[in-house]
Amino acid sequence: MSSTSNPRRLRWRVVDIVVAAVLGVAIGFVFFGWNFAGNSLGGLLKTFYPPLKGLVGGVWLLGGILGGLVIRKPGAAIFVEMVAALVSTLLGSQWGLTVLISGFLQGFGAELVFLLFFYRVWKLPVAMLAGVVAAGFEWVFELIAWYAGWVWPHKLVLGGTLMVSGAVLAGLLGWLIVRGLARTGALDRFESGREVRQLV
Amino acid sequence: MSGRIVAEDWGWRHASRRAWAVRHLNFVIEPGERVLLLGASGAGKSTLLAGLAGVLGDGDEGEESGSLLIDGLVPRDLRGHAALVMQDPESQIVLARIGDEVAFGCENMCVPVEEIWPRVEQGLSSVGLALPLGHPSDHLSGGQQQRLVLAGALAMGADLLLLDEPTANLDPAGVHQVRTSIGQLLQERSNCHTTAQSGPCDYAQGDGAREYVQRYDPPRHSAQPQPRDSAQHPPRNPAQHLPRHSAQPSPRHSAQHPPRNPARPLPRHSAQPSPRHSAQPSPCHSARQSQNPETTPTPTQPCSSHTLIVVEHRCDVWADLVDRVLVLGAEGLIADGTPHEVFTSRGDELAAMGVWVPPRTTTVNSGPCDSAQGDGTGQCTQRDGTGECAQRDGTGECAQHCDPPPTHGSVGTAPTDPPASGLSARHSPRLSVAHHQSRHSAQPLPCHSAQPLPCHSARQSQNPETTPTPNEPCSSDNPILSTQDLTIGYGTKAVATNLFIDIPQGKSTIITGPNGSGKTTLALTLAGLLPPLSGKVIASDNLAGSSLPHPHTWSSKELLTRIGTVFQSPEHQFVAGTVFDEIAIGLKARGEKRGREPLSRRAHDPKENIEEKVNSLLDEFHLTHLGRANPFTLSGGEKRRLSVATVLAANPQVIILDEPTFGQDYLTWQAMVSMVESLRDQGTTIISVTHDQAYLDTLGDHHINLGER
Repeated sequence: MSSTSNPRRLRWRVVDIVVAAVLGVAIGFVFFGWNFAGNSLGGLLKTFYPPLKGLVGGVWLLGGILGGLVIRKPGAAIFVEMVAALVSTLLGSQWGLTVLISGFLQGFGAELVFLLFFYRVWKLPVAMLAGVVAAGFEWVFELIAWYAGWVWPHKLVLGGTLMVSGAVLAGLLGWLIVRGLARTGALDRFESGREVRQLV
Repeated sequence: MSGRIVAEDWGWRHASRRAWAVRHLNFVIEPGERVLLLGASGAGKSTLLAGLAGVLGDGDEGEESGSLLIDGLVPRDLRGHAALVMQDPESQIVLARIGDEVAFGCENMCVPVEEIWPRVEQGLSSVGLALPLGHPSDHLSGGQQQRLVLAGALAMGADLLLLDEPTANLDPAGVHQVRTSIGQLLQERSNCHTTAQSGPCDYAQGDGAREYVQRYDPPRHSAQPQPRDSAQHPPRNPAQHLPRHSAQPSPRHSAQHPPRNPARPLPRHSAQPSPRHSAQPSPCHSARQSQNPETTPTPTQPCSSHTLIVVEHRCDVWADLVDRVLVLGAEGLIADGTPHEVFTSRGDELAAMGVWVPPRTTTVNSGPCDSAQGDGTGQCTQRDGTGECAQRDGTGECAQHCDPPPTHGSVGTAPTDPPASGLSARHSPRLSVAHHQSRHSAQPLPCHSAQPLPCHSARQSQNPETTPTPNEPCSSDNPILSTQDLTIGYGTKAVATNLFIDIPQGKSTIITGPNGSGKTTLALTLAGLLPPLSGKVIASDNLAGSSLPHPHTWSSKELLTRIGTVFQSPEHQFVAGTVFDEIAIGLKARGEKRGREPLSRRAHDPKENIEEKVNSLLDEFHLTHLGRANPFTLSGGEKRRLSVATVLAANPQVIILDEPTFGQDYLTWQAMVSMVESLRDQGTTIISVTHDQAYLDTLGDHHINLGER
């Protein structure tokens, strides 16, 4: 595979920067929508058992997963998640500027996993693991910022639900989105796109 | 040093393709050569130009084999050395106003500020784009875009001029103008060469090149001239290889850059040039210094020469300007030599492969493609592809036949029998010759028969008096579309006014006119895609069915089977992810409509029919191997074919084609023309916007000239 032998494979091209930025803005709008829809859903779940609200959290981790899976360059996960967080902040969110901290941590979590695999493996399990780790970082932040008063069982279950959500709503969903995008041909200038479409 | 291009077994495979775009190329292009690059559609011409301009990208974008070097350097590290005019001009326009757009290249070349605007003015005037500098660059017609991009490339003053079908969208006068401008530029440069010893070389265009020379020609070169070069270009050598530092070492220079010079790699000799240095050294002052007469030792001024590499399917435009022809094939070069050599010795072979080979005449020594010389003066001479008539004007012999055009044929009407020869010529290798010959055989007068009525009508209509006047009835009794006092344009800005046009049903109507005269706008308005600013477009009852008779009020589904449009820029109409799906879209949209009632059959029949239909269209347009490719990754010619195929698939009653044949090799041209002919013969009404004279000759049942109104 050319990507393994090419010394420049980790360098950002112009198209990488542009697409990452566009992706970030698009996901920022998704975040903005989810701030209402997801939060209402989370509120509903909360009435059954408070830590269940973590189940909706995965969507807010999408940026890092998508950024990494599409661009496949170092920093893409953090960058896309941060841009998305920034856009949703500017559009206005109930959590204000803390979203930026969350955004960084979530992107960092995903980035860490991709780095762990030397930016070479982009299969579904890696995507899901990235979702889990991103959720882990978010969990730690939320424990400090929002749920310091919870009892530990609650905190632990919250961590569990967040990570499950990260694996499914960010990892699996993100992976599916990338495949769908690739099928349209929109990602033909990326290894991620060409992998899905056969060469012609 | 001035840009010797050496390709050694060079090849490039785009990352999304299994096949190599171009491969096994071996050639040397010396500085100052003027090369015409030919090859069938999809042969890799644009890829080679992109490679030379250093914009192919790296391993992420594709795979490279062999080497392609300019003076021993990878083109990627020499950006600014080449000016590239891409096939799709729209894709390289970046700034909002045309003046800024032209200045952009100069700015990046570090041209001194006070010199930029004169260059911009000169660039724009040399391509005939007479618009204010503040004109918005997104309010340009296709031809104007092409002129703008050319102006930018010329103003940049790069050593290497890479032009990818630079005249494809230009009107005949524009083609002539652009060709002349480039010819002058090249002429200036070669004069510069021969007079380099005696006089200063102060060209507006020279700066970037000078800067380049300064940067890359270390003084040492004068001490060790390149034996290879000198052997091949003895006369050029002295000027070329005496960089001014060596003759008159400029103390200021060395003082300013003491550390850099020794550290700088010698590009030609070092095996691994440092990309960093060569890519971005560009100290602006070096360009500026060269403006300063004191620091510019004139006698040894190295005037590097412009190298021109131009891709154009119709070689006749450039034939008298180029001194070498390269023909690309699937596996390397097919032919390489002077135009004369290539076209006379390999002509048939090349023509069979789809290369537009200029007609070869008996008076070969005047150059095979010289007919282009008549270019700007009138379509008549230009179109006389055989060159017979145009060439021999002086002798009076042929000119007699050609010159006083019999004034039969009322303007706007066209020969009622479109030359059947278009079809019969289908398998003949050379279109124009084939056409003309078959007409010759049919009619005794060679010149007349070679140029039937469209020529006259085109010519006459340049005369304002004989331009079709608004109220003049058109040839057809039953127009399928007609306009009444139509004003067309975008927003509030009218492009053309008071149009009274009839489009005869079941015929082929051709719209011509200078760039910016509103051809595309008219086509879009007729197509129902653009509302008229005032006046009306009226469709016949037959076409409109139960709807209102105004196309722009129809839904897209209604339009689909009524009026299909092929846009000037093919990319504008691509909506699917693969070539196959792109063609299937229209069929599906129609199929669903039909399939609604018999639900049981819907699952099977239409689908198979669609596949069959798509495959046959792919086959007809030579796109079968690209069925699963992304439409946006096709070559220019392939995109054009695909966009025509998509519209043909839906089989509408009226088909509007905006520049259907540009960028096509000869075989596809023929296929397309005969397809349009057969559609017309089946009763489809065709409206084409074109500058393609041969197309007009073949399909100009009815001719509307928007120029000179």
